[in-house]
Amino acid sequence: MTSEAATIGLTHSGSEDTGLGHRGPESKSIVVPYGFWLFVLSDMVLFSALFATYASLAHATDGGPISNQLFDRNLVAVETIALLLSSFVCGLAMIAAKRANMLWTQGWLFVTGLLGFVFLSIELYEFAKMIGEGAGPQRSAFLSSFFTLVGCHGAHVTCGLLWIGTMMAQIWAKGFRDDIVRRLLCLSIFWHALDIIWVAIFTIVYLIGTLA
Amino acid sequence: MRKQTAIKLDQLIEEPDYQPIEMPLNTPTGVIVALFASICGFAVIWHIWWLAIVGLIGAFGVFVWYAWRDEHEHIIPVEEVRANARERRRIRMEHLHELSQST
Repeated sequence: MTSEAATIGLTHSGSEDTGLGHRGPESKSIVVPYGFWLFVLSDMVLFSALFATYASLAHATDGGPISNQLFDRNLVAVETIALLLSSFVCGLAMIAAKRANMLWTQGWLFVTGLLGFVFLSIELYEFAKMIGEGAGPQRSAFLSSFFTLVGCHGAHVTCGLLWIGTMMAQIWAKGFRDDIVRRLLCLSIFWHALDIIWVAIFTIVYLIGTLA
Repeated sequence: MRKQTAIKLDQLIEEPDYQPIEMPLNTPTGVIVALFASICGFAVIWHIWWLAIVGLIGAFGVFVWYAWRDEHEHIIPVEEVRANARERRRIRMEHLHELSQST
């Protein structure tokens, strides 16, 4: 049980002894993800500000299109499935990486990036369609806050895609070194965090926005 | 309490077993990436698309360049740690001695 959990777990059990006893500093496999969590949480603070902005401006449509007319639930459902699935596949990539399996790690990371790309393409298609219909960010306060919130998430996904590509190249060139695996761990934390934020966007923007 | 004891006995606690210290190397990466990101932000505000692309590529390029380095840390050898700590202990000891003389 414990050894299997150690193989697939995200942290802890692989932590190396620092040789300084239990009063010494934690090992790097603990400290590095912890530091990255601090970044992720500060990112969540940024998003909560954008969520608050959107929530207070959602009805400030200035006589323009309202959320019910703009959003297509089916399209967003496909988008959401692509992103949730990519998070799951990212988990599979982490398992393969823990087992130092180059082929499967690269394969799953590629699928993760591919699903992220599908998500991003659908989002850009939706944005282009809305701007084409005259519902761009300049139209109303509601649309400004919508494009800021969802666009900020999209920008994060774009960075994540660049990161996945870089990570694949690094694993290929440098192998499963300790520091490379720690980076991979941070990438997976980042990718899951984006998923959590998307679930909130999906609920607050799209589900509540398309209630009859 | 410890301080009072130290003054009374006119000595510091025993010297600990010093260890080498691992430190991250200094790097200008953060500032350079921030510079490119600012350029990109400026360009996006004023719709200067070529400059936005330059900013993005620059930021990403510096990020990859940094990520590709193999040395991210250096070790402060234990001799240096010990020498520094002993110098500090010597100064503290002098001060302590003055204190215990005056009380």
